[in-house]
Amino acid sequence: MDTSNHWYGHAHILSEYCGLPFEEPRPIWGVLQHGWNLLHGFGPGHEPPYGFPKFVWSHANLRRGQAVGWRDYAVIGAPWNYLLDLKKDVEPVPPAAEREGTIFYPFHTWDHGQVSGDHDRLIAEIKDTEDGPVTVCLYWIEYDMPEIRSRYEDAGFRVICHGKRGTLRQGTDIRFLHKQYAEQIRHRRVASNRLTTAIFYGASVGAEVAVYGDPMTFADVRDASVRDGNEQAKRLFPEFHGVETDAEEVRATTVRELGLDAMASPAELRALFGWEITA
Amino acid sequence: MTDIDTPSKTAAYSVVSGDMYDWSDMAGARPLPRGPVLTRFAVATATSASHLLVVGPHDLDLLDAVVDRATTTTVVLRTHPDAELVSERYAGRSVDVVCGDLRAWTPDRPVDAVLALGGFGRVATIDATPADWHAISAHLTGLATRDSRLALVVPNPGSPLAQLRTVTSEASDEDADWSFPVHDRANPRSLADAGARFGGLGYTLWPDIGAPTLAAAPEACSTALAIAHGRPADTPTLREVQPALGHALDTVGASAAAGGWLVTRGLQPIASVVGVDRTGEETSWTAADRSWLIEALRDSAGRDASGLRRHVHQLRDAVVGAPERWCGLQVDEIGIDAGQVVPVHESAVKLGESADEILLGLLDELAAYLCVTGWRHPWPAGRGRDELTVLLAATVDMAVTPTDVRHMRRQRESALAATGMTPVVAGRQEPQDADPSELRKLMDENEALRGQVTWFKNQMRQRQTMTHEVRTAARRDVAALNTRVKELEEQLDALRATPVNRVATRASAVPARARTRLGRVPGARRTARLLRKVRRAIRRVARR
Repeated sequence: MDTSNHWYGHAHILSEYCGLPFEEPRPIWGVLQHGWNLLHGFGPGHEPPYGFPKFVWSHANLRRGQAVGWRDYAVIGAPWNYLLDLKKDVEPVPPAAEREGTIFYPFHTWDHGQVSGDHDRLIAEIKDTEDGPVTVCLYWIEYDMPEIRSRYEDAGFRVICHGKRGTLRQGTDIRFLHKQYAEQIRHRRVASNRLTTAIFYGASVGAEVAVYGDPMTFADVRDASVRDGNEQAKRLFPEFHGVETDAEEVRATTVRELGLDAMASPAELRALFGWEITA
Repeated sequence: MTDIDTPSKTAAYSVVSGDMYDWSDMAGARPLPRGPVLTRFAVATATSASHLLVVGPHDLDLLDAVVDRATTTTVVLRTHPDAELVSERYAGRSVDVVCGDLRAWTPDRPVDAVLALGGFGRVATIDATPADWHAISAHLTGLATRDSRLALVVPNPGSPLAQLRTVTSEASDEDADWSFPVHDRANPRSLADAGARFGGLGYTLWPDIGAPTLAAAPEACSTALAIAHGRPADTPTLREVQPALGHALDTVGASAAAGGWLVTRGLQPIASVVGVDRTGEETSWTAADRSWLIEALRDSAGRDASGLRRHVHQLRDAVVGAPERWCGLQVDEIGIDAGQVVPVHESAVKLGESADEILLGLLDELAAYLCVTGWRHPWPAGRGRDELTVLLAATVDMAVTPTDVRHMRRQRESALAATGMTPVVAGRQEPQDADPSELRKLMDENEALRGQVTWFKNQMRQRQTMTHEVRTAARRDVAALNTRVKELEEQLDALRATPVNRVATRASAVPARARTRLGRVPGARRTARLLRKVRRAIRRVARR
């Protein structure tokens, strides 16, 4: 099983959706897409072995993969969609009137990289734009960097972190998405300085979304697709960019990109993941 | 019958130039136009006509259905045996039979209905220069009035099935399989070309023109429709060639791939699809916008998982809602009208009992269809028909195992066989009658080869044993020689050594011997140490 399947508790959520234990998901025969992207569902350099099933969020991911000759795709939508399904009765999205403020996700680095950008300028832009209370959600790496975290705290923002995604099944916060869901449904707006997964998640729970501010960039770009991602995203998804966005357009795109229209039934997921007896 | 080479009239039928003896088109091997589909068009053409012209040989049952519907009928046949047969059959009725080349005949009264369901391949004499399709059609246009009704069949030698049969017949010893299917060399290129000649419209005929089981207007025709309903009685069926030619059919279009075309003019409105379903029942409908479930699913399978799931859901809802409507259908007999799945026809056959069983059977057929028509990994690879069926069923939350699928398939195929129906994807036929002499020859060859292999294996084993023995003996010799060399070296060293050295050498062996013999005696270790000191002292003296 690919260890990235556990990131953010994805495998755990899908296990629960399939009527299996949340805490100890069975190994998935294949690789789950772990975040929204403009590629084939997987990051640059992440090339699942031939014949290894690829479970992606949207048909766009599938088409891009097939265009480069990859096979064995299954479009199942984002694990987040299945969390929404699980939450719809036990923790439904509250009415808009009960939600307030903005949760902002600054563009984040990753385990083996570094982001270059001007946080002070971004803080100023957030202050100029948002009129309610602001929660800044940092990725765990920046959250553990006092020089970055303190800037946002000093600016008067509430600073949080949803948790760690973990490595090799160690240190994974399996309720990462649960925390993200809880935060997003209490905020009226979800914003970021780049079009990211969190923006789509916000749109899926009825939040206003916005992408503005210094987009920052990776300091050590290893792949051209990473460098060009932001400009390409602006061209492909102009409806998300700006301080104010059109809710209907955003919703339609979100349905496609998160694969909200491509969810599989529990039985289908069990069959796809090899969680059924197939003798 | 006398030999007549000028126009004349016998007691039973007229004779015009181009008549042929010793030949029969109706008793020959090539099929005559027949069947319910053609009969339906023939009747529509003949009904209420004042003078019906039947061009060339037709099946007698078909003729029976039309001759009394027109006031008078003229049948033009090129051979005397055929003319005699038809004139005897309709003696005393308003049927005139003419024997000879169609181009030599001139009607004595206006023709207001023309029936040429066998094409133009058997209307011109073979004694003269062959006439192509265009020459005969030009003549026929002159015979009929401009507003006359018309039903004319045009073969399509380029149809995949015709091509396949051409190849197949090369391996045959039967005379009939070697007869060239069409007489003319310049067929119209398409239904549109043929229609333009007569100012008519038309239908595509499936799978061939001899006894089509389907006639569909071009706008209502699709590959799926043709495959589902255009079934010849013999093999290969379109279902069998479809895996190989599916893309070709899609590329050239269903109309261009048809077995032939039917050009019509002036007929009363007829359904856009007229056919015979696989249970032998006649079927027809007029919806031109009907699409096909298997085509929609095949299109979805490659890149639209949502569409695939949606269609399977629709099918599940329909089957659960009214299982009795679906229990006799196969998956390529299901259409989509206005977003709803609909059965193409009603069927009294029962291929399954419960809704789940019927649905699983249809999904299994769909899986087979997807596999053979170029399944482009809608789901992860490494899964065949069984597991694809399991996945399709899982999309509607139906949990089954491949074992369940195989069990259901056996039941369904048994039910299909009992009703004379064939699976959606036919398996390869095993050769039925293997030549026993050929088989014996192959067995003899096999036995001879087996003997050679046994001999070769024995030879190899003997060589292996021999090599092993030689190698063992050589090793033994080398070991003995090494021992001898060592002994000689020791003797040489002993001869070269001084007396003191010899004493030291012997003394050096004392501690080891003492350890062995006296190791456990009290005081032995101390004695040994003393001896080692003595030995070192002797060596020092020797060095000086």
